[in-house]
Amino acid sequence: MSPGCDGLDAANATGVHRTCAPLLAAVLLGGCLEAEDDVVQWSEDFETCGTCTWTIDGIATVVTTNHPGEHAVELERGATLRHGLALVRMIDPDPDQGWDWGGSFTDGNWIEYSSDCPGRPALTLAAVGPAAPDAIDVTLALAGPADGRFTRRHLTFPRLPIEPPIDPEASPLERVTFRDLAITSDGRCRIDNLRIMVSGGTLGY
Amino acid sequence: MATSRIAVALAAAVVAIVLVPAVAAAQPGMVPPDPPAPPAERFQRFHVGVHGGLRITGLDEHAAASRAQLDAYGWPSVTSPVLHGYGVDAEYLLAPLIDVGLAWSWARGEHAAGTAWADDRVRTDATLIGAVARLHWSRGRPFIPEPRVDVGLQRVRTVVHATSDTRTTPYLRAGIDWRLGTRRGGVVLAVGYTITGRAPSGALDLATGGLDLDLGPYLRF
Repeated sequence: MSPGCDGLDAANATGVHRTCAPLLAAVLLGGCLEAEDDVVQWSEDFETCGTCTWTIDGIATVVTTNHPGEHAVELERGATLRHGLALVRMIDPDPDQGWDWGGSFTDGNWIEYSSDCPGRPALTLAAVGPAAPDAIDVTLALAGPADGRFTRRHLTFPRLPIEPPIDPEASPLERVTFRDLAITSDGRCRIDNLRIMVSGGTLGY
Repeated sequence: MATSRIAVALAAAVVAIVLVPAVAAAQPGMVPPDPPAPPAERFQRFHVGVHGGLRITGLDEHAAASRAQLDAYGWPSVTSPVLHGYGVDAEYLLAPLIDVGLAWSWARGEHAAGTAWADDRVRTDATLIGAVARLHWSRGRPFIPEPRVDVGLQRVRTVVHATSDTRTTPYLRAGIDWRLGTRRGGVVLAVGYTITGRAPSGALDLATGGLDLDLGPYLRF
């Protein structure tokens, strides 16, 4: 009990204890909760220089959205935006399932963005090939048409597109690298505040 | 004979009691002074006050929708801020019970923050100017709560990524001015609730109303 609740006569004790109990519970609960430890590994808000660091195939323009200071990229149907990445993921060989993210990244490994296209998006990974066995290309496919309302989307990365090794113990592959991010759209869609996130492990499960 | 003498004596006594004072009063220099007339009551008709204040936007009816809009757009840190600012008001006692006048106030708060160091913020500056009507229901007495209503226009300047945009909407404020002082001066503790108009569909629509708490000095003269 907190010091403010000590030294009370019996007549007042019940009422004061009722008052203090929720406060004490809140303090104890706050002490038990751990702070969120999500890490932003890469982000793009198209505010600094628009699409100057992107490669555009098709028609994609920077537009203002809900405020003159807020900008997004509007992709026309069939357009593709590309951006280089250099994000390293440690991986674990799973004897039962082959290569995978390992225990720390089962769910704490995702991409998030805001878009006005309410269709079901797709997040896919593709191995670059034998020339770069640890390189992975990421593709985010937006599904239109747009409804004009921005919503936040969170997509967990799928399983690694790497064949399981014959002998995991002998394989030198311990990491993969996200080398390239491509954004495509099947309609006119706006996208903003794109982030690649990873959990610090505390909240991963 | 005796009876007639008694009658004459009584008549003389009545004349002495009734008429003599009247005759005496009619004589100059012998009139008793009138009681002094009560002084005419003087009202303080003008009221001027300044205040510093807080507005708890988390209690705005639009607060949840405001936060949801920012969350949906991807701002990582979103809140309903407590706006802080200041203001001034001036009123005139127009009718026996009503003060009417003008009020102006300004308040600022930060609604969201991003991950970049510079200018990755959403901030509002809300300036209100409106007409005031206050129930001046107990003149001259100190420590009186006075109901008050403000109606006017709110000009909101919203700054996102260091770029500002302004819009004007109506507002309505209802509350109590608790005058803690004398009839001529003191401190006003004001509590009120502000309702503001909404932004057009598709625009960033942040909550800038809510519960007001203001404190400041006043003068009445």
